Amino acid sequence: MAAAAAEATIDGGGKMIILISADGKRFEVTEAVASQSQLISNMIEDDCTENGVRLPNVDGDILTMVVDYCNMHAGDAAADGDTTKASSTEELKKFDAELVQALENPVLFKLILAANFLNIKSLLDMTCQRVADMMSGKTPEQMRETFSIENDFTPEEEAAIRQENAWAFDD
Amino acid sequence: MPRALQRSGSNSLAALLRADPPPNAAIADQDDAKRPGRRRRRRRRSCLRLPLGVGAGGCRVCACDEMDPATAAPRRRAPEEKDDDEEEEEAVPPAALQCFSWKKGAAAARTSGVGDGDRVMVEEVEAAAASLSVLPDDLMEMVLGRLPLASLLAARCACRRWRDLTVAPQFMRMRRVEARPHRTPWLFLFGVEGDGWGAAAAATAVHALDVDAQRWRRVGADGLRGRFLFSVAGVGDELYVVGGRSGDAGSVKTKTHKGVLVYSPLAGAWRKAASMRSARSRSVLGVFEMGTISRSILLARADKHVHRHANTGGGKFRLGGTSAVYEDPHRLSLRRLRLRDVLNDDADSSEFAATDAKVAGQEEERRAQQRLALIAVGGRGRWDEPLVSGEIYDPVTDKWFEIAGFPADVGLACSGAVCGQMFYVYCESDTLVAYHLDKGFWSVIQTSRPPPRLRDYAPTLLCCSSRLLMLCVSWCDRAGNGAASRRERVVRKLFELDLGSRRWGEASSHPDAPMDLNAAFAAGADTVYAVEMFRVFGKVLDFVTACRVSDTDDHRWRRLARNNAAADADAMSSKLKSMAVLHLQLLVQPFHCL
Repeated sequence: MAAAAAEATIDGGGKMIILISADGKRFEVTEAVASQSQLISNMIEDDCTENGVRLPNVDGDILTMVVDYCNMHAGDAAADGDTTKASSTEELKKFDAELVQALENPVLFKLILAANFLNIKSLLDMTCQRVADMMSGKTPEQMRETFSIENDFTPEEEAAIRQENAWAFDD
Repeated sequence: MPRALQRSGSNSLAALLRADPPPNAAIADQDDAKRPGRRRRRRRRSCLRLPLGVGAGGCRVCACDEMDPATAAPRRRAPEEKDDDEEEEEAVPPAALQCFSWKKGAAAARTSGVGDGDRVMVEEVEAAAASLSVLPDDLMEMVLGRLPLASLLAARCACRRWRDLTVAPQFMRMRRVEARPHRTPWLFLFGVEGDGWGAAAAATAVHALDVDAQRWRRVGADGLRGRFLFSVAGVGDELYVVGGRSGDAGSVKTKTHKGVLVYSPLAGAWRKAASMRSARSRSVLGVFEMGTISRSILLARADKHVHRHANTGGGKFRLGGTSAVYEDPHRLSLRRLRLRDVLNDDADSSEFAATDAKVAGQEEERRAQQRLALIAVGGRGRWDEPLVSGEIYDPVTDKWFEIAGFPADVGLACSGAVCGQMFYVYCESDTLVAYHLDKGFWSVIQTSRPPPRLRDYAPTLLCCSSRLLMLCVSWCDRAGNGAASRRERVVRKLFELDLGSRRWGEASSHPDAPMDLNAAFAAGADTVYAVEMFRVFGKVLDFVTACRVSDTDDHRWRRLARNNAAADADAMSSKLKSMAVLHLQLLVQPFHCL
């Protein structure tokens, strides 16, 4: 813990916080990084992060991604007016794009759930947008196929609802 | 790695033991592909097909219309061993369903040769979470809320849960309130098929242009059968079709309508709104935001005589107590007489100060709850007489309120647009009048010399990016390069009225020759759209152009929908068009078009 504290002073982010994933993986992050999560930020305020933060809803793999994301984005909240950061916004965007682009559906959904649980708005926005992008331009059939959704309409219902809505998309 | 495998093993085993009916793990994979239908019937509530592994996905993973599996899923991953037991108790139904997916996930991981344990673990859970229905309703709403309209409507047809989510009022509200930059504008073009005039039963067609996708769609418009000369406005995310005529236009059988029809593209349905107080065809419409108090002000003002305040807002002084031309039809009404008594007591100035303060006080409230209202003025009445009256529709109460008629000495209203708190109407006599929406009276706006225009083409007033614009056809600056026909020497121009100095200035000119006498125009948030249609060699050609109105742009017109709508809309007459833009989630800028 002493080493962590020393590291923290270098980073300038205050003390270190330990995040523990559902499968017991431990992540050590600075307070600045961790507090991008509203959930953890609240916990920090309430001083209940002493023994590490258990996140029973988040897998190690997903948490790795979340921590990566938070590390990348720790700068923009802290150093807002910093001009040196301006050059890296492009980089940041690229990183974000690559992060969500490469994901398989299930991982993406879990990332959304994790972002929601941890309450990281920017990550949640980004991942939801990704799913929306994947959905857009698809027919209902393609959507069902892409996202493993079963058509639970009766044929009559489906005919009716299609008649109402089909004007806007290609059949 | 060993830990992961062990976990996966135990889980599949537990699942297998509970599988209902207990399937043979060895044949499950092949079997599954063969009898998806049977399994579906057996388990109505579980409704997800698994795309992973074998192509013929017949295996359902978890229930679509209830969220328990989703919320249970993370808990299943609890790290402590002791959790496994209690969690298995809880998660009986999902576990039973997950037998195949877990197995498959593991199998897929093995065959793909990914060796390390984490990977195996991820993949096996992936199988369970491969369906979008793992997301709880609130997250699903966030996703659906970001879809462009066409995809939203497609998603609505995909499954019951999405349909229920997207038709819920709070979802509609969310989409309306949260303005997102990618919300796409849609152009709704109303036309009368065939030749509206003379055709006994003119069929009205509605075509919608998805501006971003550049695709025309045909919208069902059975309710509009036989109507023409109506006016169209987009209020919020709905289209209002106001008044109009039906019947044989040439004969006495013509009927002028009071009725108002509303089309909600999001619901895909038509409904009737309250009828106007008087029948109008081709009335001039405007859409504006109305504060809660604004309405009462409006109503009180509406009953006052127009000339009382004519000199305060406008530049033109109108001396004398009564207009020689305009005779107030309500001059004998009881309410008017009562109001007159009240109003005679207080001087104009103090009254205005009070009102302004009141309005300023309401400004915040107005912003907080943007409530749109529709104003309809002018048009032609039952006997084709030009109307001077006006009325305002409040969608919340579904009522029309009469307002003061606009000054009759300005001629027939051509076009109107709401800009700020004023509803500007450009009249046949090239006069610009404005109705003060917050104070409730008309005034004549004295401007610099109005732009020169050809009478054949109706001018269109638009408000875009809080600027007041007018489109009209006027002569070319130079009669250039031996232009052959008269048409080539005229050009459609966009003028802007500087609201401060009240001078008209030319903003841009349209590159195309104005072929269509009844071109339709509408303004979106920051773009003016134009649709021209005309017949060449018996074929209807259409051109959709757009012009962005902003300080930085040079107001250049660009062509939209290169693959033009002719294939879709070729039956549409080049006469009698109206158009509306809906930013299906954004608030619509006021507009009107002929």
